[in-house]
Amino acid sequence: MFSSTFCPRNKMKAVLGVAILTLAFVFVSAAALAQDEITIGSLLPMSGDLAPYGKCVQQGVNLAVKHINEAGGPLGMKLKAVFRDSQTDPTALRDGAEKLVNVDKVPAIVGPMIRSDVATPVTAPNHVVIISPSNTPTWVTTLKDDDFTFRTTASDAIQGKVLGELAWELGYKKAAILYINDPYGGGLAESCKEWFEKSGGKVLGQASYDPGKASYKMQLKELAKGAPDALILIGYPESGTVIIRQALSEGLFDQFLFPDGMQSQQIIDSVGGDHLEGMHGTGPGAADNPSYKNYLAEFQKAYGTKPSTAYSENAYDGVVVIALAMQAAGKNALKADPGRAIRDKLREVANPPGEKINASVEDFQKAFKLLADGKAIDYEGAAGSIDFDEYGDTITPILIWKIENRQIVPVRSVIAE
Amino acid sequence: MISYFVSFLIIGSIYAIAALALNLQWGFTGLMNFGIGAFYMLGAYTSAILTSGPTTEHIGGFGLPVVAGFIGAALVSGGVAFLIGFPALRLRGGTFAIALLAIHETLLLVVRNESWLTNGVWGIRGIPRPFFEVVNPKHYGYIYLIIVGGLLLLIYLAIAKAVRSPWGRILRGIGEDEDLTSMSGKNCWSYKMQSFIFGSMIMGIAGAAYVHYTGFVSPQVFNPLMSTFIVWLMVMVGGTGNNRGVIAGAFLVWAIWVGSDFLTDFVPAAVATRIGFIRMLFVGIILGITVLTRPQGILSGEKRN
Repeated sequence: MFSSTFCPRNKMKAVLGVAILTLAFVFVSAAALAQDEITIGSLLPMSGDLAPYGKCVQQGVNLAVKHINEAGGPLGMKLKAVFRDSQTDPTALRDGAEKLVNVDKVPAIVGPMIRSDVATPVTAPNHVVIISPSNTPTWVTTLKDDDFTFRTTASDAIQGKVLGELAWELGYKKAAILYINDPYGGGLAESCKEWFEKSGGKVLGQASYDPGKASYKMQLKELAKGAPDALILIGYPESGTVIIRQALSEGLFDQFLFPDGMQSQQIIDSVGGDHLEGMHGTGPGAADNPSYKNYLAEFQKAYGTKPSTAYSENAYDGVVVIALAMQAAGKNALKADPGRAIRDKLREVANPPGEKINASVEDFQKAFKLLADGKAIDYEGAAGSIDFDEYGDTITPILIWKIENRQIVPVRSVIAE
Repeated sequence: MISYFVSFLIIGSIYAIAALALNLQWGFTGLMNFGIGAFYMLGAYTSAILTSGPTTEHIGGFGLPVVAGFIGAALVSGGVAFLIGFPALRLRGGTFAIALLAIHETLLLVVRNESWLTNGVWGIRGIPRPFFEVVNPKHYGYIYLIIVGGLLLLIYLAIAKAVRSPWGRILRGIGEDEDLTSMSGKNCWSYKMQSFIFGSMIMGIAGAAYVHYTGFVSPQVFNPLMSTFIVWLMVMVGGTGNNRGVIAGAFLVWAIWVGSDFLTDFVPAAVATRIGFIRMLFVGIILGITVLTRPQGILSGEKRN
């Protein structure tokens, strides 16, 4: 009735052929590496849930590469970025890291946007620096990474502190926290609660939500028990607006406080009316930073629009500090162990002391020259001052904003430890 | 270069193990399991919790040897399959598939929210990797390739032998025509249950193999696309009911899935941003071509009358 499994040889060969063809791509791409070029990697979500972020961050990376090359390039070499798709998926992210490390053989990677901890076991043993533009959770600080993992964005612990203290400062005594059920929401909720209670406030209730649901009334009703003064809503605009509308229409909350994820014109427009007038929030960035202003202008010139999502400036800074560190390391160190050479110089070029370098082609030219002369520099990035601490974290300023005349306006920026 | 190929083969082998399990359930017994991710996840988390070291973040810190993790993964996946089997196996075909899909989503919600058990959305890090201390971490892939390759071979041989045995013939009979097999005096329900449990245990083992390679697990790993549908794709491209075929299918689909990324280097930057979508197009085209020209899969050596 059934013959046993039998497979003709030629078909097996056909399968092998396809596999070899795929590998041929790999060889060609590796052979394309020219002598006076230096390649860095970028591991970004080009597909999947975070694809809109990935696209915008990629523009930031490309802009930085362009500026660095216009300034002459590190050690006179041409900087090039290869992109690998993390697909917003841990398995693909790991595979992308393997590609960058073992096929493209890059010394440094800008990325991943989330889950640095998946890439670290691949990159750290191979001495590859990773600089995440956006991975905010607190645990990134303590990863076992041999100091090869950096980020150009502030830890959630810092924003949580500012958010918690802001809530107290605004006169709220009792608050409820509703947060999106992901590492960002959970981490921020925890540190916000900690600092709000340290200031003297009391968190009456804390609940998580999953995005994309039609109704959040159940959580809201639960949180409204004990009549808290305000709802601290940690999430993203899409479900966030649904939550605000339902909280307002049910008369459960009329005071809200928002973190960076909700720092979007979209929430004001979708909720409508003057319901959100005077509400406060926090987010990354400095209110008046010449680097950021210059970055915005250059971005607009290159792509014709403002950055559509956050974190493109953080990626820009990541590329720039890598290039500056290459220049500082010098050709010999870069040849011996490029990843380690870059790692060892990152703090030198990004932290004080030294001449302040802003984000512009002229300043990069100046920086390359100063470094060649053995002088110290301190890069002041588009996303903040970019000073790496001993864990590879940066302390970037946190912006406090409020909603005034249906616009998000900066109030002041705080530098928290 | 070689290191990357090794890492490719490891993930490919893990998927091949899951594909073999699905082939047993669907290819031979006709069980349309759309909940592969559920058993893959159960295995992964069971092994992760059993073997990881002391922690305050979630239950665990048992620090058991990795082998115990694999056994636990198989037992828990099999046990849950047994429990689910009672209601689910009353359903046939499409309804069975929908039920399993729903069970996957339910279990995923449990894993995301029960932080005391699974550390929720943060996931579990620092899961032990067998023989990790033996070599330079740079070259660890080679060791693990031997482990997972051996596992794949073992499971392949076991399934190949099982489906050729009288037991396997009954499964095939159920797959071809359940009523007819029932009329021959076989207890179809019992055999379906056995096939379901056996296949699910293997999926659990695939999950354990995943976590002990990456040293990491989070609910994101088990989204339906990357844990269920990709395995279906592998089985369909490779050849339903053909064990060697589905192994080849697993490697081929994974090669296209991750290999298409290299296309980015050859296209202009404006197109490069869309490469993710182009990959999906490729995968769709390949599936389309296979279904149209080789409905039996790329290795259609096996004759089924």
